[in-house]
Amino acid sequence: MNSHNNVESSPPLLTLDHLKKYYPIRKGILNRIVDNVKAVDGVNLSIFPGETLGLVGESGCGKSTIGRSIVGLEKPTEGRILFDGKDIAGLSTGEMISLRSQLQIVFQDPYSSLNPRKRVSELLAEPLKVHRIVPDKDVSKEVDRLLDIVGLPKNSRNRFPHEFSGGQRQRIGIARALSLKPRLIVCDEPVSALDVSIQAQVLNLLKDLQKEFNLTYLFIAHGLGAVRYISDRIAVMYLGKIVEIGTTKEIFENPQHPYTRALLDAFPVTNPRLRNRKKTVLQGDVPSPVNPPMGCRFHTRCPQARAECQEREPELVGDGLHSVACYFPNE
Amino acid sequence: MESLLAVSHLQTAFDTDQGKVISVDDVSFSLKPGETLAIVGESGSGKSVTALSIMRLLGRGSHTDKGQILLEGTDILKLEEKQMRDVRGNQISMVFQEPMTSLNPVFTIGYQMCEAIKLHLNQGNKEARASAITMLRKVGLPRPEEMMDEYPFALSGGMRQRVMIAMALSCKPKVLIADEPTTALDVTVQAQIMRLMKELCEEAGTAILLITHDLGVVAEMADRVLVMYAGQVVEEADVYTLFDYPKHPYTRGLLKSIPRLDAAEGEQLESIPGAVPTRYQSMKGCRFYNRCYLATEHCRDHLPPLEDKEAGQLARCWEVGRTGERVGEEAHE
Repeated sequence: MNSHNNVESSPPLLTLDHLKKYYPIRKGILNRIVDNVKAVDGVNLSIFPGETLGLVGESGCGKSTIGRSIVGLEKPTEGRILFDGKDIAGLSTGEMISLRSQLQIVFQDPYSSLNPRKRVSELLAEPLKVHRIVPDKDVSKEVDRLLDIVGLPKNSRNRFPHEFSGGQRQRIGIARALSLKPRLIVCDEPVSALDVSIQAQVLNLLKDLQKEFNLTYLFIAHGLGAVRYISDRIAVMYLGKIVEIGTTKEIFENPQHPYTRALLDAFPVTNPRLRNRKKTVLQGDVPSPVNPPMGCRFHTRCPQARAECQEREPELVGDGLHSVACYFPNE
Repeated sequence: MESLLAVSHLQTAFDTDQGKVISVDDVSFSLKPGETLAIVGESGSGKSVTALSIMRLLGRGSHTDKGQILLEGTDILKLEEKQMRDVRGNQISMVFQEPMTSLNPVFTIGYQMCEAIKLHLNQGNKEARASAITMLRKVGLPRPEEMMDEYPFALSGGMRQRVMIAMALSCKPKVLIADEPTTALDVTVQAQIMRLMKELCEEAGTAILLITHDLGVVAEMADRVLVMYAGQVVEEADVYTLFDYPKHPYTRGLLKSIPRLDAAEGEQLESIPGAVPTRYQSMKGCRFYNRCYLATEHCRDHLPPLEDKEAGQLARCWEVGRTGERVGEEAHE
């Protein structure tokens, strides 16, 4: 695990500046925009070189939209995405291509993210050829090297994706992302679809690769165990906003936001002796991101909400180690 | 205590293009009244097929021709389909993983709730409606009267799962089979649903057969645990023993490969090498053989029996508990 201090000293590799992504809801014969799904609603975030930032939250909180916006699969509605100091938010597809080699993504579902009609060798050779990573004559050698790095046998090159298990497919996905020698990899729930005994293999592989190739990860997940294991810092999202961000130690040992605490409490612990521990169980569901509650977005489910919380939205305040968006943290 | 549901040597097979595939092989367990028994395993381990075999919901191409499923002494595998309908929903009911697809989208919540109540409890329209509303209130749904006339699409995933639980418990079954009841839900909603199921079943004395892949859910809910691997039970123990002193190498490996919230910083996660075998039919010996750190040649050729290793803790392993067992790894603490 990187110690946070030496990470912080260098300028961030990626900065999100008031990032917003709204999806319009259209209705009627004129197809007018009647409302917006506010998937990401003003997110500020920095990722430093060599670190792993974990992004957690429940479904629909906007965590995947952030990941997809960073690699250019979604165009942000507002705000800037600074990669190495350069705004990449509004880039055209053509301009994005040259950046793709530096920004890669590993998807959740290893079953749908690989073309079933291509052999592994083709799947891995394609990005190498498009981006001219190695001369054409060396492509085959490079494919072998990639397979070796992610721990797949050499004879996998001539096989099709359906011949592999979920964990092995995820390794192919990782090899494909690595082939371009990226600096930042967005891991969008890379282990959620895998069996428990396979999850650990893939998490360990991601960790080893990070050390070996000095990679920076944005690790998106809803499983807190995996996030804690792999992340240096963690950001907690709720309804399109970051409600708390801090070092992994701070978030787990000293959670400040009532939502973070509820999330930690709700997570099933693999120790039956702790089953009767005191825990906050939140009531109700996450409100709709079309009409997020006024004031603090969490106040409708917050066990300690007061009048102030309904009026103004709290800002994220704190230092580099720990920031929280709550008027009454840790009460 | 007398067991409520006793499954012995259950075998379920499917006809496929490649011939007969046995997906549940020699599974035995018993469920006492009011108890929560968890069946835990990875995908393809046969845990859901076990549940569906008990409900006899597997349909054409499946054979459950070996073994017995005794519900209070009656073998339900021998019942006529008509008699089985009396058992389903009334004595054994089931909650499925997907709350999105297990409700019929073209009928109102009220219609679907009342259908079972009228059929099994012989209640009239008015009476059934009143019982349905009581159940919806019990599972903590807001404005139950209005919800009766709403359609499933208007509800969130968590609310639908509450409706499913209300429906499953409306006829006061003796056994509730919950097949991954919280897997499709968010963590905060999962916590609500687990608490709700536990409370309602305790109140009514209903036994729960919980099918899950999540050892966290097992630790929170179960009294006893059955670990399945490749169609077979590999370990059975009470929940505390299982988490404190897992015996089977597979269980040990599983417990070590979960990233824990209370792990020390920088602790390395251990993983089980390889993957679950897909063609375990042809394996003569132990099905965990090629991933096991204790495996010997004997394990390759001989299938170990599920036997009592220590005070009611069963494991299917030749090596474990043998004097001089190679302590390759210490037990999970």
